[in-house]
Amino acid sequence: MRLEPWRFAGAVALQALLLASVGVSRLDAVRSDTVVTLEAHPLDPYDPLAGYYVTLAYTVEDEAGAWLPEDFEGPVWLLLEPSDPGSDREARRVFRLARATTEPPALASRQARLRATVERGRVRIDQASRMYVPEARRAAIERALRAGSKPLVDLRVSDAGAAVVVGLSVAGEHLDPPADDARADRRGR
Amino acid sequence: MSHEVAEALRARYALEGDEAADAANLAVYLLGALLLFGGLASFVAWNWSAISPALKIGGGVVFMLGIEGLGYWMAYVDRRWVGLGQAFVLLGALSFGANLGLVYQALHLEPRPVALLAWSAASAALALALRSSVLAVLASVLAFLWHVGQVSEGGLPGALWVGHAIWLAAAGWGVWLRSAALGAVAVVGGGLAIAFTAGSAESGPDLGLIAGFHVPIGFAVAALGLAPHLPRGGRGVAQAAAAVIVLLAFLASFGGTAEAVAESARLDRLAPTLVATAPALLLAGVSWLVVGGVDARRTLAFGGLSAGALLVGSFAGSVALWLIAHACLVGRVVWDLRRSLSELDRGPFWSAVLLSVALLCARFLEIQTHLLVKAVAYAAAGAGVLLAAHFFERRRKEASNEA
Repeated sequence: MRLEPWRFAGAVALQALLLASVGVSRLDAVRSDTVVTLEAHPLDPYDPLAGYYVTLAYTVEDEAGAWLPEDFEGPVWLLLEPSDPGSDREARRVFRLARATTEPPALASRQARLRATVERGRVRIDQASRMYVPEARRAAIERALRAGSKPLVDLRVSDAGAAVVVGLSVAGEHLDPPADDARADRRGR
Repeated sequence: MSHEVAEALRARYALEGDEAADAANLAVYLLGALLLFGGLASFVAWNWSAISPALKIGGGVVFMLGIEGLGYWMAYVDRRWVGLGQAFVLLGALSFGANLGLVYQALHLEPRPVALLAWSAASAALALALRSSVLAVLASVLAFLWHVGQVSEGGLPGALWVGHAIWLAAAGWGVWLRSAALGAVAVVGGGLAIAFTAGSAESGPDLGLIAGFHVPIGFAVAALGLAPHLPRGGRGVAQAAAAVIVLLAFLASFGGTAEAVAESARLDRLAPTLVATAPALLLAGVSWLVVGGVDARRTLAFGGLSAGALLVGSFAGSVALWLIAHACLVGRVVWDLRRSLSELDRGPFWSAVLLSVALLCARFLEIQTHLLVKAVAYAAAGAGVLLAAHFFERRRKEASNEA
């Protein structure tokens, strides 16, 4: 039985389209020049298709609840700005939470906004809770995390508030962070 | 009985034998493709930082399109390598999942359940385009996996009823393609969907998930019991359903046991897995008799010994017994391979390959093994199965020509 090649070509094109659609929602963030660094506290599980990863929860997520109406569930916005000058966080270039809102906030200079969701009373930044780790680096990262150090996570952020995790640093171990000079240039708005 | 009737009957049964042989021969090629996918997925999960994410994704997409194109040409245009071609198309459809993993890895995204649905839709599109029952089986299995995820996490309202829609669709598709394998997936999926619905009504989705393990086993046992009395198509479905259950049982029990032995897990964590899979393990011996059609005493000896040693060893926390169980199974594989090579008999050859693949696949989720080692081992085993299938069939052909 000979089949029409156009059917096969159509099915293959659909495959490519579906694959492309997975990453398209984060395309703006990938191209964005805005990089923010946040404090996080991780775990260490495994995904059979994508490999080892650390699960990330952010300090700003914990702090956001205080700004939101009680029992609120749904999409929220986290407005971020550089930490206070002279503080330990500022020295580590960590951004802090300015406020959390249920509407998109306006941005001032050197500020960034992140889309998040409140589910069962917990605030989570959308699609920023994983950092995949090469197997060769896993043991070193795990040791550093077990030592109790708080990791710093770099996120590239689009104007619309979509975020992509781009780097992780913990106790001297660095995973794909943006180059320091580029980071200094691109940081904030 | 007249001479004409006898001739017609002979011709009919010879034809049936050839069709069954072709299907089983194809199954060996597909098992090879499955192992190659295991290698590919492990390689992706290894997450080699020396290659940029863009290059990884580009390479993955080129591999997927290339292997599908090559498979299409071999199986549907040139038609000299139908089994290998279909295996390559299946590998391409499977590598869509590996590519999804790559995209998630590159963007550090959390996989969404809808990804399984996208993978299922992509496979269904290929299945419809090529009228392939193999790809239809993959699409249906992925849709069921998505459904199980939705039910267990309570993610989608009305997810219970979606399961019924999936197995009915798989059944209809199976009738259209006259595929026993697709019918088997519909039978097992139907059992799962009924169990989920009943379990959820009683005590929530958790009980449904546990009951979901037992009901398909009951279905398969019933199907096996009825098999000799069923018409030709129904017999194929019953036998294929039994094979699906046996494969699931091996994956669950060996995977769980290996993890428990490696991590010295407590017995109470291990017990539910083994209790749930014990009936299926016992079924394994029976199904070998019915499906494989191989020597009854040896089957019972190897199957019974290994299943018994595995269960007792696991409950007693004895690594020695667990090793004995594996030794029995490896012994069975060696025995079958020796017999198949000396007699050029397909039955023991397929039985040996199926058992070896089940043993290897059970290691897929084991995190104690280095991912690169796993990737190389799976890829080598996949290539080995494809080569073995090719040379075994060639040797049989040469022998029949000489005769």
